[in-house]
Amino acid sequence: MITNNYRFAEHVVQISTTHEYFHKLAVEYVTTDSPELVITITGDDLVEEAQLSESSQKAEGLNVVKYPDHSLEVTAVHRKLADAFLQYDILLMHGSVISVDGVAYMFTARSGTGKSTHTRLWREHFGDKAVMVNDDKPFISFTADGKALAYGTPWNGKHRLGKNMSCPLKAICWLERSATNQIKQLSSAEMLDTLLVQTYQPFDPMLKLKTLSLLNELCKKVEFYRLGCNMDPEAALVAYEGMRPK
Amino acid sequence: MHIKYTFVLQQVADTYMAVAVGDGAKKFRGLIKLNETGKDIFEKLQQGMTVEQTVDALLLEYNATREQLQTEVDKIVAKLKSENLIVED
Repeated sequence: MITNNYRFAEHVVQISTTHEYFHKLAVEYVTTDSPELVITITGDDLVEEAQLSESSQKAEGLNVVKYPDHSLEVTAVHRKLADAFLQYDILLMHGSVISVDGVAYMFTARSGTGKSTHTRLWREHFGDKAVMVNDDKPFISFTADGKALAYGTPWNGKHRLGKNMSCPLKAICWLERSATNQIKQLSSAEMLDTLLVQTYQPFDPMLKLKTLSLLNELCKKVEFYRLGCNMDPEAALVAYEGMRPK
Repeated sequence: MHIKYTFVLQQVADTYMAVAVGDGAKKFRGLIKLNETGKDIFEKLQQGMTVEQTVDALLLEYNATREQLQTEVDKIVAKLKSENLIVED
């Protein structure tokens, strides 16, 4: 077993796996502080993860790809951590988070819509002012003064874009392809189905209820938008102008 | 007629989500989405009220006709039946 301590979203976790791969991905998060939580990935976890992966691929109508054990370990750590972090009022969402001038925006979409392409347009337009917080699975927590915070995590997508950082999350934006670029603010009710799909949903019913109560908090603390966009640089400007602090 | 399993409701924005807990949790993993009226109906059915008792109770709480409330209760019962969550006594 390979064991290291990591700090994710202000909490220290000891993680043990058989393979080195997870630890390479998470190197930026290593700490020598004492852990609050201990996560150990066993052979049984990998069997369960392989079954879940297969059934979710089948449900999406995809050809089933069998992932190697070192990849399954990365998702198994993620699942255990997502369940455990609910006790600290931390949500795990699926989306691409980018910040400009210290304000973060999350883009979420059906896979293949072009989240990563869109956030690349932001980086090209804003240069060093734009920082990728996380390109796939950020953690979201809430501050005592009523803000939502997005945290970088090692689960940062196939392009491995992200940083060990946190940033106040102002808005979550549903992204759709469109011939022209336009943005519209949505109510929580209009965004609800998207939020349910894009938030990690635990199997345990009590954790599921906790997730829903945190989503209710999120609805009070961030704004929601729908962006119809193409791949022109203008798309980034339309999105930013629609969502930026006014 | 009664609702299978025990459910706990949680509000998210203006919607209520019913989550099966206890023994039902493994058998029903979905979420039932309810609006405010749907939540009131669901709670009464879960308390063991019949459809008629539920309509009677709602008549005291809502400024609506018996027919309107009957339609709302029928909608919720149909929704629960479609999820196979109703047991006929």
